[in-house]
Amino acid sequence: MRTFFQLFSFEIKTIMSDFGTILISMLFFVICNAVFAFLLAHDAGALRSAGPVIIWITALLSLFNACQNIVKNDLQTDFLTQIRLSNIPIEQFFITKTLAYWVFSGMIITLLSPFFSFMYGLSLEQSHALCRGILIGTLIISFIYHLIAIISQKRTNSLTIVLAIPLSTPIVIISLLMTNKTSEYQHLDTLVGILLINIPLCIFLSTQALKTPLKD
Amino acid sequence: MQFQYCGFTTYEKGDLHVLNVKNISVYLDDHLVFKNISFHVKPQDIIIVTGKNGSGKSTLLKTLASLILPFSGSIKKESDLHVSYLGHKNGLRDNLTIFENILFWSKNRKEAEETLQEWQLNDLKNLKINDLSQGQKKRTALAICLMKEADLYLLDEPTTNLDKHFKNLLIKHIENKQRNEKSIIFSSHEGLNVKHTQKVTLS
Repeated sequence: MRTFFQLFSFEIKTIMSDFGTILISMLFFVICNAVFAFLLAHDAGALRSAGPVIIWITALLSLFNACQNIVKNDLQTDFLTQIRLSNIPIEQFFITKTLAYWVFSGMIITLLSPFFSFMYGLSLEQSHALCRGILIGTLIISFIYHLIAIISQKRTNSLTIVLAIPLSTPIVIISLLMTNKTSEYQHLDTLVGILLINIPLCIFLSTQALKTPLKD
Repeated sequence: MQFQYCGFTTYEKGDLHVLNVKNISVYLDDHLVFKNISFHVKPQDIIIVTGKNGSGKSTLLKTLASLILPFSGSIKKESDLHVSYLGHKNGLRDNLTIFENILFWSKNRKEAEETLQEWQLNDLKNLKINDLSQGQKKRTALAICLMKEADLYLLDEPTTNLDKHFKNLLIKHIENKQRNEKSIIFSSHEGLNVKHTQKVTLS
């Protein structure tokens, strides 16, 4: 049986070989935020209040773009079928693949966010809260996105995004509420709670979806 | 729709069945692909599924691999049956190299290198799957499929795009699997010179 590390490194290699998609997603995040910061530079108040929302919306769109091939290629090539028939636990495959994609999307966005928080003039506390929110939020959304991509299988990517947006919206709202000083830790608890429920639920549902044979 | 089952086996070993297929019918998109197919597979059985285009050879193999649910009938399997399946699509990660693909499915590096050697893929091992010809892709996929430890091998048109040398290598592998008590079911348009086979004809 393959170890977690072997599966993870295989997924990393796969993502690295299609690095253009990741690069475009990250460039989108950087350029959008830089443009907004420049356009609102004359109004420090508007910049501060709109900053977290802009960072989150661009983070969400970058995440969706980075993960657009998370299932598509494996379906087209029948690699997913090989995984289903192998002795590799589907749960393990689902977790490692999601984490590998998150490392190249959510984690990079999290690392870039402090820089843009500074550009938008957010306080240090707000910036920390936003980064914590993005770190946990993008992880939750990555699992949700992967699950939806598996369930919607032969449908188009746009449908996957349409289904993922309503499920991601509450996560984004809770994360944004964290930037409010008075209630940061209350919302952080909520977000961590969602993460703890979300991961096993997504693993269970995706495993069931992958194990179920196609009906006639 | 007819079903013909011809058994030629002369090496039955006990009553242990790897698979027991009973009266299965499969519909795809409301279209009846085949109906009332019954046969059983024992260790060391080699079964060739033949039939015209569209007769349901690939669908039958997918059904046996539990990738499609039959509309009616039943398929009984050994409780811990390991299946290695090769479909029309090769099941390879297109943007990785031959070696990376083989290494992923192998037990260790040594097995991966031996497989490369055997299927004459050594010189191509650093090429990405996307850059290979259909024949080279088929060889890689076959090499992986036959490298896996399984009780039942399901091969959909394994000879497509293979030249004579690799067809003979495939026959050698199939016969080796048979000697090791494994069962093989493969679909084929063209005959493959394998001894002691049974034939399932779909029409």
